[in-house]
Amino acid sequence: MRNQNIWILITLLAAPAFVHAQWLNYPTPGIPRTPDGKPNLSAKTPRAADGKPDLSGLWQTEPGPPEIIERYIPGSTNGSGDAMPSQYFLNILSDFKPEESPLRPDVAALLQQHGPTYNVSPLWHCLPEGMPLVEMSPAPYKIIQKPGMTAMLYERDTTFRQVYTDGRKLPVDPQPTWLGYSVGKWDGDTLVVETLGFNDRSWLDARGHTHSEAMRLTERFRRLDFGHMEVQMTIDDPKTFTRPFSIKLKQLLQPDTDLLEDFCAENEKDLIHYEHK
Amino acid sequence: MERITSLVVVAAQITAAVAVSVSSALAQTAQPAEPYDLDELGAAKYRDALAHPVSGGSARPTPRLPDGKVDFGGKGVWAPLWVLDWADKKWVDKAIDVPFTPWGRATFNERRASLAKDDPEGYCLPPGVPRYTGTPHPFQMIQLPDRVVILYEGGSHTYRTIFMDGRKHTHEDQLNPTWLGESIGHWEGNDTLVVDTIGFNGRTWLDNVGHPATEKLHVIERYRRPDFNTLSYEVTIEDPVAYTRPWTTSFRIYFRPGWELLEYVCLENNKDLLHLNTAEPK
Repeated sequence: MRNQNIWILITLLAAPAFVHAQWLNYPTPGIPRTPDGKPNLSAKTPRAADGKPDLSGLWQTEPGPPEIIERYIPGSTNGSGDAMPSQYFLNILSDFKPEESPLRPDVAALLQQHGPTYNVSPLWHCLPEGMPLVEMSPAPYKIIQKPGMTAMLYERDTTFRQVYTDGRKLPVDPQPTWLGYSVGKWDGDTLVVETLGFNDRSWLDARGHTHSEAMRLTERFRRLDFGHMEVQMTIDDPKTFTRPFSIKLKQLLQPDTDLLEDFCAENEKDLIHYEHK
Repeated sequence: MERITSLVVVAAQITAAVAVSVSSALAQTAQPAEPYDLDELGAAKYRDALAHPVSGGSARPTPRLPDGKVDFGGKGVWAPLWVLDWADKKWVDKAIDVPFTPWGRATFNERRASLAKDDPEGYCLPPGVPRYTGTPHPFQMIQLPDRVVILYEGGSHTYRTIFMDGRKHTHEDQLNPTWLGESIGHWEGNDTLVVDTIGFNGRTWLDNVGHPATEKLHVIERYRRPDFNTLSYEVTIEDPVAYTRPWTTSFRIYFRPGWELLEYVCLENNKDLLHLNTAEPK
């Protein structure tokens, strides 16, 4: 268990440091403001030309409650500021008591191997975080909502995914990828994004929960007002979990800042020290 | 599936071709002349296909946004050639006699002599600006009111932001050096998108043959779309450390209707690093 905590901490240290001067105080155009010029994050949800909510903006998942983060990484919330992650980033099964975990027993055994084995994590090799981990990272991502396609630009490793909203169906047997193949449609004011076609290499969280190629992810994006969004994620992977389960993320609009460049491989010194198979 | 085959398979062939031909050419001389012969391994077919617009496409006029500016989007992708040498007529509109400084020349020759083993792209590091535009992975351009976003499939699966909201470049003292630099764009008339980029980290190469760039690199790109299927790309390279004066090169990129960006993760299968005996390019 101690080893796992170290692992998680190191993962966080690998996150980009938010200390750059560039663009961090540049006023984002189009943000409603109060008379004193501050962003009005409780202004109403903006709408796109087609009348649907416009999810566009720079978002970041809200950090988890300190008492839960503290449970996973003791001492970590002392002075760490807003770089703390969601509790689901640390453990996607954070909501479950051990005896109620949906994890299949055979997969649970695999997790026990991962805990102390740092170098099997794809992140150590600067491979993609994959879904849904990248969207719960303690780093911003930008949604660009266009007719027919919505793009998510992730600051983590400066990567992106595209969600097709042009009415197409999910492919039957797509090439397995880290981020999968996503299509979206509106259910009232909620954008429902369904994704399949994952490879089985990404981890669901920093703890090392894995998934299979059979995983299907359903995300429900609901922009509550200008500055707040709720994202419900449902993971259905019968080869890993005994039943589908959902987590609910709160995401906060990040005003007057922007995406910065982050390339994991830029400072990758570890790879050569690993024992490779 | 056809596109996966054409890109992935043939890109692999090109990689092999480059490796083979670089070593054979450089065994004899460190001069850059004609180091690549793609034809031998059949990759020329791929090159020829991408070097021409889809049939009948050129007749369609340039698409425009409601404000009259050129629309660089549409259902499809821009599919560049692999522009291996940005000064060689084989890849660009006209041959360039690159105005190297002595340092620039020496650096270039060293890269030729070492078989380009320190090419950052070989380490799955970002190609940077402007090299992305000559890297053989498709891209899409998304025009928003305050910025243009370019989604690059390759090198590897990343995006670039070009600010269009009238802001000025960050002061030199505050610039955070990056692979892609700080890009600020403006329009010349309704037809030409001009992108001015500074703030580089000096670690990128301009192309596969190793034309150097430093932190002093200043890139001015001109994007035009003379017809629906053609992107006319012109770039001016200014870098007083590597070149005695700015030099300009240009080439065309063609639109592939119906193609979409796939996921490309360079590090997924990078086996070279351990064999190069270093985790770090020079």
